[in-house]
Amino acid sequence: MFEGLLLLGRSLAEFLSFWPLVYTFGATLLGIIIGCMPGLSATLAIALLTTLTIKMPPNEAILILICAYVGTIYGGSRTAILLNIPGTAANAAACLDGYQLARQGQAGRAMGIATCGSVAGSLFGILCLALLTPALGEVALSFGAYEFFWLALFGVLMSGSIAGSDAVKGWLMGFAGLFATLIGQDGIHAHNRFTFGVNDLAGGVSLIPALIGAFGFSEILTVLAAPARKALVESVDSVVPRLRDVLKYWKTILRSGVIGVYVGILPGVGEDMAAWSSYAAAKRASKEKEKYGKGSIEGLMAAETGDNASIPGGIIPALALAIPGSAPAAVLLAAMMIHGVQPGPMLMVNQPQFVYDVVAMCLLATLGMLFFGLFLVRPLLLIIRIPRTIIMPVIFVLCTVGSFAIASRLFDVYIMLFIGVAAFILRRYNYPIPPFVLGLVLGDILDKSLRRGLTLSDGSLAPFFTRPVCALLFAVTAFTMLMYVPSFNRAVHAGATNLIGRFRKRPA
Amino acid sequence: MDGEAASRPSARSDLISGGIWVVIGIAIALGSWQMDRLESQGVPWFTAPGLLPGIVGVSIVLTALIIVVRAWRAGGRTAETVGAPPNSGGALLSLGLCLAFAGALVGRGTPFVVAAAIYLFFHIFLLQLPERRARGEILRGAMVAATIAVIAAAAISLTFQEIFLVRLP
Repeated sequence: MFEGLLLLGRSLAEFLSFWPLVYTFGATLLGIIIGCMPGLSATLAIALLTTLTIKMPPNEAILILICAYVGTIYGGSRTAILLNIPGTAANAAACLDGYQLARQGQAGRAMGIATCGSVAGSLFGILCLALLTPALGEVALSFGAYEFFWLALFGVLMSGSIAGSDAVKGWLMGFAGLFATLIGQDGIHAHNRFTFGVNDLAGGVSLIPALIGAFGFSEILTVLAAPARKALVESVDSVVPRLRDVLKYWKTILRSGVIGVYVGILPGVGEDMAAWSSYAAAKRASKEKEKYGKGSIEGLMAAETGDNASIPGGIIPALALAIPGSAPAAVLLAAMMIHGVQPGPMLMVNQPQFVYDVVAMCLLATLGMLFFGLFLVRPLLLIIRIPRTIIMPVIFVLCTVGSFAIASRLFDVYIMLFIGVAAFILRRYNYPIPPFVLGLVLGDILDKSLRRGLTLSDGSLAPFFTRPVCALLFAVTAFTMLMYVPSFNRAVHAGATNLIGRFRKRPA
Repeated sequence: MDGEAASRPSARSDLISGGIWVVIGIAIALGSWQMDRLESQGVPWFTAPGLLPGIVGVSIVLTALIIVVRAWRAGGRTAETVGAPPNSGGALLSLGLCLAFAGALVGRGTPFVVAAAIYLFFHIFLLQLPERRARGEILRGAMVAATIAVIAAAAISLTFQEIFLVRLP
């Protein structure tokens, strides 16, 4: 405990100097600006900035990425409130009440509430990040190839179940992501897989160009195919949150923080699900349910607290297990690896300081978010008004440079183009992209864990099902998938209703 | 925005896309089966390089078959008249210009800053053209697009190359 505080103090002292503070405020502002622009996601922001910061020292580069991550998720609430378009998927829940408040002439109040909820959620998440990462890392030290196989598969399938409206298509996209990452030289025998004699493919499908294609290029095409929307309000009331709003809903903040962190920790489940889960839980527990969807302060607070709490939540498994909690966390994980950090169970043994560095980075990002949320509202409104006909072409130039910069090869630009066009077409047919990203990131772990596990057991599948953690993960994964089979789902619901009925009938 | 397409695709499009995935999955499974199992090097079957790709291929076939069967039951067999997707012109124009820039212009000898400025000018100008034409501001639109293109191309090149020391294509 005290050792942790000492390490955190050391990290904070390192970052409380001129350049780290410049990076903090610069990257958070950039993140907020990106989040404000519908079409640009946190995943794209982190992927593009990974290429821009590739020559920087690891800690400074990762500080920039985390600040941009936090800023983007927060910035997305601006367009949710003013345009009824979530800047990022995480802010979709904020549209419901934020936009209604703006229509009632309370856009400033809504933005203040969003700032307040985001900061509170972020701080709660950071506390959990500091406390849970070392604990989870210690537990994970006992994990072997079998457990990592299931964790990776669980992440891909959970993401498939939740992203989009069709779980089967989500799983298919997860498998497609797994396949994409298996192209190239395999990590155990150095045998070329599906390279068709193309030398550039032997290195595999690079993650960052693939992500830029999936979340950048495809998004540009999607945005330009949709009709333009105009900002609802020209001016806003005060954005300083009212203390009574915060104090009145402290239970909602706490509940949403817990849900946000929990959802964030689940592999493959992103900030959007955290926001929706927090919103739904707040509505269920609320005394003013009728206000939800009509401009509820509590609803907006719950959604924004939940999505921001899930950011540190998603970083927890990324650091402790090398299994990301969400698509942006997956890119962050890849960026850490590019910069020489090796997340996973051994991180707390080899680089314990790094975990607290990340905690300090998240704290600084929250500080930046609070600052810009309170003092930079009107200039940010101008950004929303920049026409997408200008923004999108500029973003595409950045996508091209970003894809090239990682390895200085044109082949990566072609990968970006191919995946971008494919993702654009697939999205039109309701195939979600986040599971593809999770598959892409977790494919290597899955492949190596499966074959290492089979080697250790001499070809026996038994340990994959009999070890306690494996059995649990298998049961949860299988149950999640079976719940999408209508007859099984009906049987479970009937059984659950029956059980609840019996308890209710039992005399006191 | 990360959100997926708001409108649900038709059963027929699901039937077609599911069918394409079935073919892709079978191709992956077959490719994995035919992949060298390295038995000559004493590699056991359970660490063969094609093991996971094979499982993934079969999984793609199974999930795609569910999509196909579901679409078939929902009436995907019957042809339907489908309207043109909204504003697909903007997306197609952008697709063409983006492919021309990144696929043909960049890395072929043209300095990046010049290639970026040319692309930005055409993309911004053409996207804004209908609106500008309606207001009778075509020349003004061209000047605005040119100014933005030159400034943005120079700023991106300078930022990446000189400040962050990143190589440009």
